[in-house]
Amino acid sequence: MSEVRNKGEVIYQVHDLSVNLRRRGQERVILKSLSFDVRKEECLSIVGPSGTGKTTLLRALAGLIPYAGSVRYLGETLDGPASDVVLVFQDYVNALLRWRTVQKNVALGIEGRIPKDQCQERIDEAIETVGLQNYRDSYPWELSGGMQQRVQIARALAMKPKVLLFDEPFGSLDAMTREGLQDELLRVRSVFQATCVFITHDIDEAVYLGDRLMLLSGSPASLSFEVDIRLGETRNQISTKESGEFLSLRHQVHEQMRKAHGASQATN
Amino acid sequence: MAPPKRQIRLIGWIAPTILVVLWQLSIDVGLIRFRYFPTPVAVARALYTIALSGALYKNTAHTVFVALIAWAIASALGVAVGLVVGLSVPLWKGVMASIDLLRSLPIIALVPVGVIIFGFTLKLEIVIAAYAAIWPTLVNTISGVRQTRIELLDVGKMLRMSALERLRKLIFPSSLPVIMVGLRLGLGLSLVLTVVSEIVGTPHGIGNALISAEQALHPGQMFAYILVVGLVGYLLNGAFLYTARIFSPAERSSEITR
Repeated sequence: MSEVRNKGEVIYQVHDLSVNLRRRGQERVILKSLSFDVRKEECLSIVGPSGTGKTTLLRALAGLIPYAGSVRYLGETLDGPASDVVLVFQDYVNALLRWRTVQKNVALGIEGRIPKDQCQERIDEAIETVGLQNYRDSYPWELSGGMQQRVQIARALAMKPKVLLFDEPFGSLDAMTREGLQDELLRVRSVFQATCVFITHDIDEAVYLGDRLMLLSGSPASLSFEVDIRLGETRNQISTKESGEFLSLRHQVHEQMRKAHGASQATN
Repeated sequence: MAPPKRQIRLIGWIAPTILVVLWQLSIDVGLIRFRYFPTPVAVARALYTIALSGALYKNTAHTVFVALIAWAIASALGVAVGLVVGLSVPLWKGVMASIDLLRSLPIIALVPVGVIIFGFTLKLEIVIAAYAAIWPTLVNTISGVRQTRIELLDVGKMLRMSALERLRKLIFPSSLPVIMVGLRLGLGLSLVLTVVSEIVGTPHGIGNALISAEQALHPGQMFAYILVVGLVGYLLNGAFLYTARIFSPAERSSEITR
């Protein structure tokens, strides 16, 4: 855990990835020929307008859907859900088990797989990390949206994953809760040192959370822009977002997004 | 939560009380004049008589016993087959048309068929009642399983749960509210069809007592047994809901009993 961030080590190696999905009997190309790497312990933000296929990309990385091309996870070809990879879904209401308490929800991925006391330890740790220690025995439907999403994050953390895939996790939350959870995510990441892929349509969020940002656009979607984000380890909702670096990144991404959108409009 | 419930219950007694009083009065006054239409008092008297003779206990015990046995068989079969059909898309496509066809056949029309095959036996009662009770359980289990959210199934895959774990921890509990509705409907049907086969000819139980009272021109006893069937149905339903609440946390039971 204490190893220095090795920027060279690659977790995902994606080459020429394409995904076709059948919708109402019609086969549609959602993603076309994407190539990128995900490096160890970085947070890769992927932004794109809604409906571009961001979720599809994440589901491919999670091993939940068939794809064409090559996706290598830790050097091996990905076929099916990889070990140590957990996806945090946007739709927390349906991703949580409403008949289980917070504690039992967090236990879902580890119960029966590791010794009981160790399991309880991990559950407690994960629940404390997201600050829900007073709600262990509550049911998800008794909690606010932000708290429910924290339960889902805790469930992911309890599995001690190497990679966390976030599918617009804060998309349906209000602005205040959202900012709180963004900071929490940064904090959790510094503690757990997991590699993250974070998908969002919110440019500010993508820049604020990421170490690197990629733009997904077009139909079928492809990667059109990539930029390193050098905002440092500790970030702050006010000062970071007022820094010149942040603003210039935000500007660049906006511009690129508009350009990509214009291009796709023209070809359509 | 408790006080408003009580109030509703008190209010609930008002209407039937008025009805019973009106019933009694309209016969006393001569407003209704049927030869074999008893007064509430006569019904109460008949109820007392059959309770004292032990016939009430014997007949009720028989009917409840048969209805519960049939329901248990139907529930076990319905849930098991429903899970299998619900989980397998090709199987579902293959059998759903037959299930819809069979269950829309009026079950009462099949009673004579049962009589020809089994005669007026205990077997007849159980088979008929179980046959009736299996449909709602089967159909609800299938649709409950098929309604499982894709998100939930993805969670199962993501957490690398085995197929059995997914069934036990995700699919079954998420479809339980729908299954419970089926079980509850099945319980009601099981009682009804038990009484029907007793009325048709099985020489035991409430249905048989009811038809015997009719043939012996004892309208008081007839009405007494009708009252008893109603009460049994009400109590079975209540017992079901009570048990459902014990086994599931607050929200789930409200889902089930809604």
